[in-house]
Amino acid sequence: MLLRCIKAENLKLKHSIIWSACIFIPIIPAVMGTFNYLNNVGLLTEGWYSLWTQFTLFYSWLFYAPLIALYCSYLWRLEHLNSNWNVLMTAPVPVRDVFLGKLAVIFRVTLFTQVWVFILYVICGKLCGLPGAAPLDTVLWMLRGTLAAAAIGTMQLLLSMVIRSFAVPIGIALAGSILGFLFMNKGWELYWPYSLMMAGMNSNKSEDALGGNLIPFLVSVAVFFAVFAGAAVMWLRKKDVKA
Amino acid sequence: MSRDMSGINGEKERKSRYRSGAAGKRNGRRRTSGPHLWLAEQRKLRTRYVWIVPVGFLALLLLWMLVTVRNFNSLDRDSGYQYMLYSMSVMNAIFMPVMLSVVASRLCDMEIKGNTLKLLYTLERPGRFYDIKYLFELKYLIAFSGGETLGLIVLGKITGFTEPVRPAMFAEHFIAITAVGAVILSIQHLLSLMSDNQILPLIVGIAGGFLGLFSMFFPEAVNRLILWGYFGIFSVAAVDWQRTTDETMYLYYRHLPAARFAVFLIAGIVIYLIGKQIFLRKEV
Repeated sequence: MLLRCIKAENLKLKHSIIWSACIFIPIIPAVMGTFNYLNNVGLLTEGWYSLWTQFTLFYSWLFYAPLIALYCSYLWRLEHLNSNWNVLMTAPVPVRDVFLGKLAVIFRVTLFTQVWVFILYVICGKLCGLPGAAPLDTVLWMLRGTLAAAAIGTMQLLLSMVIRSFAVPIGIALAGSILGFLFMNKGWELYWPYSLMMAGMNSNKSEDALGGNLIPFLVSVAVFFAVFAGAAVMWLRKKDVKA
Repeated sequence: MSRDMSGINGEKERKSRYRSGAAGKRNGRRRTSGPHLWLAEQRKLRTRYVWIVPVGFLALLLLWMLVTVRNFNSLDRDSGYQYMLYSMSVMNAIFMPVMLSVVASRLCDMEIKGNTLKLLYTLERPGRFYDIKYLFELKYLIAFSGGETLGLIVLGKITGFTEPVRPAMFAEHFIAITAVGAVILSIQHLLSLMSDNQILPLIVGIAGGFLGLFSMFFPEAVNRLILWGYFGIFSVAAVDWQRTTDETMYLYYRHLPAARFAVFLIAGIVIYLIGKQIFLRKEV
């Protein structure tokens, strides 16, 4: 059933403008971050790692969460319009699979975005004349950032499901990201979903923000995922729909 | 006789009512007056709590500023307002485009979702509808800009800034962010009304935040080409890069460049009018 739900959700995204967001938005921090790196190459002396910070600092802090929120809002908007809630809830599939199907699609789009960011990072690094290949650390950081999307994506999917407005969950994501920086500065990044991306992607440091200790990070992601997914499924089971 | 007179007067009254600026009759349809349209917009938003968006963003930005300035030493407090005005221009460049896209989308999407344009056009001129809707969005922007300006002054007082408040600089800050925000809002307004799906305006809002932020690190010639970068260009406090070192940041006040600001406003009005023309051609 879950597979069928995923297939159905994939169909909904066919020829969607969401892919343009995936491609277009990461190009801005890529171009701007690279120019900024080139302008300050005297101060930023750690090569690939310095370019990484320029690339990902603002992307992971302020724009990654709203981007995921945008994907989630888009996916739920289809159900909020034209009485589609009635169709969705009378389909012969468990509500759990409906939610997880959407989450799987969000995760796929996010993965695509992250891979695209990394490709841009490698291309820009080469254009800047950085020697050798991108460090393996950065691949790991990118993967960690993608994992953090499991927490944020679940939360945003829940918000977009409950809030019928397209834009408000995106505003919440941006507000959450601002607070995320404060949590990160206090060292509480594992207790706030919007900080997990910054911590995971190691975006403001050249050395590992998690100190190589991946377990608490994974536990945090898993807890947020379970809590929000559980809340969403409960909501779908208990609450009547507003079609 | 008196009945005849009253009949003539009544006719005159009706004619003047239809011909007046507030209410008119064109193409055989009676039109609703401006205040009525304003009231109608207000009623549509009665339970939508749109004000939460600007108030929420304002609260977060002021909280952010409080966290930054609460540990200032006495030297920092001497130029505290300069620092806050400079920082706020950066923060505005990041957050205002997204906030404005959310506000515009929230107000316009109800018409798109409800497919109400056909109905509305039987009651009011499309151009008038476009203007009133924009003015309504502008109300939230002005409230945000005013709240931010006053909030910074209050924050400085609470945290014990020794720098005197310069009302002229704060007034210019208010004017600058409102003007730049209004031009950005006119683009968001058009996109939100034109898009069946609100994803496009929101993409533009997020991308605008990105562009506005990064453009501040570019030479001004490049920065001038990016609308969202004007929060930085018209910032009333700037960094003196000649004197600034790794340890100390030197700031200075600067007035709004009158000529350039006037050109910007004219360009903003042109952008708005072009947007309105595009909207008027939309088939509903």
